[in-house]
Amino acid sequence: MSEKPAFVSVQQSLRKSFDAIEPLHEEWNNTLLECNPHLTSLSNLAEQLQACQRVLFKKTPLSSFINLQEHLRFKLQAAMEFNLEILNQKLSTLQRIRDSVSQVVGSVLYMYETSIEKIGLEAILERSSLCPSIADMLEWLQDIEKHYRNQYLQRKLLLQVCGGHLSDIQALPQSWAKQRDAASSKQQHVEDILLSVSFFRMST
Amino acid sequence: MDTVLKCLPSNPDDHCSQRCRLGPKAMALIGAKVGFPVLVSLQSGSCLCTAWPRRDLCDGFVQADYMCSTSHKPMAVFKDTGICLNQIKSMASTKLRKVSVKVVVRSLDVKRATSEAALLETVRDLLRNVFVLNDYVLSVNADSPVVHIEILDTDPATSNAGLITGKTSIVIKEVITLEWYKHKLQEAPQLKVAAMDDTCASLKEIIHMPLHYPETMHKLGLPCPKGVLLIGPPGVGKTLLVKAVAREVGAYVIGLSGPAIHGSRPGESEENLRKIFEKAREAACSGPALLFIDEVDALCPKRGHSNSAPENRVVAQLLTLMDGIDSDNKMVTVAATSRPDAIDPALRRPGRFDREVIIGTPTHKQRQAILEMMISNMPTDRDVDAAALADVTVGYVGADLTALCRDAAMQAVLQASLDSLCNLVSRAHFYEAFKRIRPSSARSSIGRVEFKPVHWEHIGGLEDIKHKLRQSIEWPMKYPEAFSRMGLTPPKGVLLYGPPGCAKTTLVKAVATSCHCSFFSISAADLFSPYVGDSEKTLAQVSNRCSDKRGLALQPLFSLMKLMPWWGPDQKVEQDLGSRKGSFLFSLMSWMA
Repeated sequence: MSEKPAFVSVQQSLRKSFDAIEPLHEEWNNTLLECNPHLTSLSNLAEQLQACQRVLFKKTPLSSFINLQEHLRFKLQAAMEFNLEILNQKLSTLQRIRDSVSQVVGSVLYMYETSIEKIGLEAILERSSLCPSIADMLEWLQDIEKHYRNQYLQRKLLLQVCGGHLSDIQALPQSWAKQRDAASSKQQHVEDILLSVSFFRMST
Repeated sequence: MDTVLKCLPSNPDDHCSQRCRLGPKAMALIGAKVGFPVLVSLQSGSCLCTAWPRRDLCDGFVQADYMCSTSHKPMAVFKDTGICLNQIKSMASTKLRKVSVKVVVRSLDVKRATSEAALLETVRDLLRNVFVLNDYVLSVNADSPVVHIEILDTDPATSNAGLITGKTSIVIKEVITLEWYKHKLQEAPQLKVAAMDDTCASLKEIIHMPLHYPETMHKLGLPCPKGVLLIGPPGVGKTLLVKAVAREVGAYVIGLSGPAIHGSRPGESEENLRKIFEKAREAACSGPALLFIDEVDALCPKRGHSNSAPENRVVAQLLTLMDGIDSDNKMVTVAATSRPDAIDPALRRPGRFDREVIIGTPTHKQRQAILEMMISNMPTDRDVDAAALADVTVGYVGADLTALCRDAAMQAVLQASLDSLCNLVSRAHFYEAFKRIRPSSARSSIGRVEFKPVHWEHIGGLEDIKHKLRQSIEWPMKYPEAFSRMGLTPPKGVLLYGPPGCAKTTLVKAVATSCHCSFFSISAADLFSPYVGDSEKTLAQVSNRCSDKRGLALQPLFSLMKLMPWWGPDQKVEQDLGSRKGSFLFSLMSWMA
């Protein structure tokens, strides 16, 4: 008799987790989009800084301005730091999303682990046209959680590595886009999953 | 339980997810719970997976992602076509508090570029929610800088599958490059080298020193010795020694051979040389490395003699590269040659090759040790006596002794195939082989003559002469202690003279037979040539050949010159050659002394 309530409670928590993940997913996408202009401006600033370091102001009409090079460099660096600050904020948003996804998924898995004995294998594998099986949904949740973890880490490493060299910072938008293209199938996968559980989520 | 499941390649989606897809019936049979660890034992190792149902819920197939397994090359190794159900076992899991890992990164550049914190974070991300067991290796095939993660230790130590969660603390014990990791995994058996303990020790010391006492060397302000030149006749085991020592100390060996270096384009050879040194230097950054230049005389000949510019440039490049090795590097260069005279002298100064180790023709004891080691691996009869064999194999080098043993074994195989009675290698087989295998150092040498053994009793009469010959040649060899006790110097030369046909040559042969020595015969025709200095050179070659053996064999081997027929022509030549005869005589006398 205890089979049914356990089953329902796991399903309930699954439903809740998907409900929680959907807005997070949208926030993630928006955050990534918001990053793009900052990345471009950062890359431009890096290019300007590079040019500033290369040019000899003494040979130009600007030579009458004293310490122009230092001033320019200071300005550019300040602007870059400002941009990096914003990007770091975005990154922390991404981290927050990742952590909340991990937490949600973790709580579902914990729920599942505690009630697995009561449910039984057959019930876990049972699926209908409206409701995917618990096993499928758990698998999807794991996939989603892993995707966010990987993505966050890669973006973070990308920003970290670029700290040293101006040429790397200049190429940042390209590598960022490359990262996005590489992950696009996974991103699509998350959206597919959210679609496949939409009926299940509605059938309260 | 013995249902065989068909093995299919895993889904691309499941890549690096540690999932093992099973049918529902199979899962029910082994009692696996969805998402819980199962241990899959395969023929060539086992791997830890998590059980998941197949999407189509079909039974009879298994699709496993071998991410966490006992082998570091799972895809190549696990090629089982079918897996029995009893090969899959459900496991309990424990959450780990702490785990120590060894990280293998893709290349040295990656290792330099990635900071410690970033590496730790990458590893943490890769290990998150993964089930592990002690000594299992995680293979990561994605484009991450980390290739493998080896689990060294877990806390709590458990036989259950350990789950790494977000709270597990991860300790990176070691970071090595993929190349080193592969090198360490090559499970080659230790090579056995007999009778070269002192040489071995000195080579080992030179490799160990910068590794174990870096601070001491730094304090002393001395650069570590970093070059060893091995000199010895062909076949004494120079190459084998280097390989064995490298394997023993776990050093990474990079081979360098002359022919592989030389290219057709001008400058290509130098470039190749630089590349190899660069590779060695990179390898040396992560552990002891040994650059081995075999046949260095081909790579680095004397510069004055050859007047080809490219060759000189290669030599110069090698010299500068040798100088460029940093003393704090753990790299040692070892070169081997059988012709030390042919090497450019600039290479032999301290700082390039600091030490020269001469490996001579093995002495009696060394031969015995070598033979004992070889015989120990063969199914031999009881009558095989290594000491007796060592007695007769004067002048044999390691390669000759190997050939001897191989030939004896072949004899035994042939005989066994004929009568199928005994399949042991006996003394007779060794003696049969001994007839065929001659020492390689004596091959193609001037003056070496094969002759039928002549025993003392084959010569009638001449008893007093036989006695005198025995006294002056046989006794010093057989009773050297007696000679040294009485303070006698053994006679160095014997002059036999007499009219033709009075058994002078036969007597010498008899001496050689009774002492088991090589017989070198030199006549004037062999030695004299119209070119200035040529005869002296030939004589020097013969004397080198002989002293190679005599100087280094415990039971001294002596060479016999057929001097008698030689002095005659010399008298006649005297008028034609004038002063040249004098110089030739000098070289002969200096050798005799």
